[in-house]
Amino acid sequence: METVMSYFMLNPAFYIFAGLAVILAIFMITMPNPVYSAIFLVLTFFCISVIYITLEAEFIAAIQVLVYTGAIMVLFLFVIMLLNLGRDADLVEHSGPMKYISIIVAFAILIQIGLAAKVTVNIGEKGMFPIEKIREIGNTEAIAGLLFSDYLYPFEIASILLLLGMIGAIIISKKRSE
Amino acid sequence: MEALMPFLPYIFILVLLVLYLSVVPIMIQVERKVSAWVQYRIGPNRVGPRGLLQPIADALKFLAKEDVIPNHVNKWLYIFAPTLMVFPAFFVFGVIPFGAIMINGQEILIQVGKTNIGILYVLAVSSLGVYAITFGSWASNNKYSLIGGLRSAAQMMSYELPMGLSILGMIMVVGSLRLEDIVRFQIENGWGILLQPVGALLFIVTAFAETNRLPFDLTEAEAELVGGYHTEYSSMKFAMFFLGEYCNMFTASAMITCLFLGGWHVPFIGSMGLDPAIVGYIQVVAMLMKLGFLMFFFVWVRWSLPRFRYDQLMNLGWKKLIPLALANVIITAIVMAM
Amino acid sequence: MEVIIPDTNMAAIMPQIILTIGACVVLLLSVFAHSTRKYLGYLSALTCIAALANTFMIWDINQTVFAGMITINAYSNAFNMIILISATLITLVTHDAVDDHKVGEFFSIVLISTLGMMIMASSQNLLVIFLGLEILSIGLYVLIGMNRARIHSLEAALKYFLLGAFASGFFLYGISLTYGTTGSFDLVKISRYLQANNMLGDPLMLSALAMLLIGFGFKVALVPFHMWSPDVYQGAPAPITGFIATAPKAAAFAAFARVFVEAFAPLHIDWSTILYWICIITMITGNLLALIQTDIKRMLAFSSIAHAGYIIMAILAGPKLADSNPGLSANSIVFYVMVYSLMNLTAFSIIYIFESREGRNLKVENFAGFGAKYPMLSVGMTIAMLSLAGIPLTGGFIAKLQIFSAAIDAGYVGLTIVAVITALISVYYYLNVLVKMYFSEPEEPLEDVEVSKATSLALMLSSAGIIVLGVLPSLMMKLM
Repeated sequence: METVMSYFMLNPAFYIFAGLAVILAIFMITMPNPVYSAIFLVLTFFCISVIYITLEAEFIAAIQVLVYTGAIMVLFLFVIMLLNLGRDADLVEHSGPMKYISIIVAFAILIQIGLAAKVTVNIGEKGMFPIEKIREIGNTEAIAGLLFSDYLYPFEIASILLLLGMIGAIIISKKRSE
Repeated sequence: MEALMPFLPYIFILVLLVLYLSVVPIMIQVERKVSAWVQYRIGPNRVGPRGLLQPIADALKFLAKEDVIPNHVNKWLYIFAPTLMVFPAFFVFGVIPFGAIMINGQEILIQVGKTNIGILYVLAVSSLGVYAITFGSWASNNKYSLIGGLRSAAQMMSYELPMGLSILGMIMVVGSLRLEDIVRFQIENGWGILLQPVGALLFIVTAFAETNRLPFDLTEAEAELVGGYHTEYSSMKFAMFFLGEYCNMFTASAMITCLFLGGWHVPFIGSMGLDPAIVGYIQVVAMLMKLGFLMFFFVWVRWSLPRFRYDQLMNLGWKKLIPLALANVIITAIVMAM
Repeated sequence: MEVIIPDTNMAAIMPQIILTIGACVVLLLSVFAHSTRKYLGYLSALTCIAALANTFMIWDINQTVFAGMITINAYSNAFNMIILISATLITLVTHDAVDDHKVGEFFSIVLISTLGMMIMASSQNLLVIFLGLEILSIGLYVLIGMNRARIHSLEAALKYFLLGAFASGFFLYGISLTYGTTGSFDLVKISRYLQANNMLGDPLMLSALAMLLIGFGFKVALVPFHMWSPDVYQGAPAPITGFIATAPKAAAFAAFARVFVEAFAPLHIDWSTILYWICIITMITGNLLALIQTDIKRMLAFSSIAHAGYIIMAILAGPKLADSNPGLSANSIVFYVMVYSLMNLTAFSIIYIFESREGRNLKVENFAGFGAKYPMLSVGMTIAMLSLAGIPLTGGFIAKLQIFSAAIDAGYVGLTIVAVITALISVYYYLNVLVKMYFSEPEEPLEDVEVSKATSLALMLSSAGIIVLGVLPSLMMKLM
């Protein structure tokens, strides 16, 4: 308990928003109405971006809001609203004991990984970019530098992934006869 | 003065809040007067001298009206949406630099939050504005509202891309995301509208779309959709949407000023030999005047141009603005590499 | 800050570049030159062949480029070869199978998907492996669901997509936990770290291993994570099934072996126990459930689950043989995957030919009388079935033999006994197809089928490949 409190005092905003993110995520999956789920997902993403800010990763935070909250989730909502999944389309679950079993298993895994993270003392090599260095050269600059040097290959590959996603989306939604 | 230094950000916040809230009544009056001017009529002239007290009457009307929450709406979201409309625009204001004044020989930037992601923050937060309209339109449970909301979601999404791309050229030239750096760069090297004319044009066009102003106000489109997303709203909640729209315009004007109109810079003021302290204040006023002109420009355009059709809007966004913006980025890169 | 561009050796990734360019050219041609649409299948096959030729040209290069993201050596090239051969054969078989207005997208997705597989097979970085995995998966989701008129395809696509996304989530979680523990995505650095520090039984590392195992287990369809595979195999159009059954598995096995045998070798005591049992369950479940299937594609789905179990034996043997016979495990995996791809491609292509005539899924009993009516196709099917069953003189026999000898060398005698018994069980259902083909009379008279030249070429090449690998396995061994 003491360690929890000391962690909390170290960076209260992080723990508040992390907890909030978890709660909102639980709301998101338990809501029967898809629009509410989407709204809670938006809020979860927002909390996650605040977490990034508390970790001094402003660039990622801004991109998180810009891409996920501001663009992708708007599209989600757009589609949900376009399909008009209103109150009539409330998702009803027809599951018996499996639901409770899976909840228990999920919590077991959660607790296990939580404990694992707590017991593990060995946290590997420190990265090349500790927070002091980031502060010195700037957040965006550090990411850009890495992206165009060490991570050049995955960066280019990601563009192919996006191209593929685009072609795929078009062909799936294309009308049957031209 | 020294004792005041730690409180400076709070003073800035207070000043900005007042500025921000006073913009709306002024703008309502300007909107009405300019529309009257464009349409060759007189406009409000009964309340107060030359109708100047009209905004106060309007505000009182909104406050005094009965607050109706229709039965068929989704209550929580219905109430939540109008409040959401105002916040993003206000949050953005935190990073906009209004000038640099000299206090005790020390230059102080009039800016609340200093962050090294500047523009990205602006883009990120202002992209949240669409949620107010989307939530409001869905919660209203009304087909006109829903159509308005859907249009708004699609429109904001489509125009966010050329908006981001149009800024990219300027960022490449300057080499920083900080708005104050961008302004300082323009003070030394000339205004952004000269360095990046295509980028400036694109940004202004997309700013109209992002603020849902005519010629891109398809979310409201009173002729076809009654009132669009705010059909079901009345009294103060309606006023909040109204407030939000003007706040967004104000923010967009501030962005245009900082990015392309040199921010607080007044040309040739350095060579006039004025006291630096006074220059600082003049520049703050210059910034506000630039803002005022752009606000007027928004209104002017609104009353001069017809509304786009929806497919025209989408065609313009995806087939013209985005390729143009990409070309602008590529050409900028080539020119810079040479 | 200073940006140091890493070693960008374009020659090393030239096959990937060829595929990317090919995909773009195919896509653009289909849009701007309608008259070329008929030939896009051949163009894609040519692209794959060009990439294949290029792979042979860089066979002897042994280097790591792009700051450790891509590594080119005989092992990755062998897998790339298998993937490209599968892609070539598939493009040849499907060259006339797609609606005219989707043909460009279809082939460019096939090519990009192939690119994703090659990335996965030749990467040395968990991040890039994940990107490759996503590229290949997204491509496959689209390929399966492309024909929206077929409700079964849509169902299969949706099932594959949902479960695949779920499994990707596990995989990603595993990657992030690995990163959290070892501080790197790079498999070489991870391996170095694990050797320097004793991480055996470390709880966070164990969680990471479990997550990665689930991710890979889903992709190669190991038994508790195999549920998607029969439904997807049954629902997807047959040539696509042939593609799903071969090339992505080759890529997944390449990455699986690289991650577990190379990077996590110091932890093999941790993961080998669980993988041991997964392997046993996979072999038993796959073969027993295949016995009771009536739909031929479902039967082959369960059979490929069983085959995945056999390959796992080699992965299990890998770390134990690292000192005594380092190449054995990797070589046996490569050989097995090669043979496995050829025989599945042959079988699914032939099924596709009949299926497109019938317009519905085939049951095993529908093959009655095919032997007399379609002698050539039946010979191809016979070769594939015999090889799948592991009868001598086919590649399947040699492949199983190698895997079993590797497992016995590593001391997994019990496992090998289970494998041999299940392999014997499998003979029953493979031969059942042949019995139906040659010794049953059809209920109604059979109609003629037309087989295009490209398809018959592909079939001839793949069946010949099975036989050649069975008679002269040294040809393949020489490459390694």
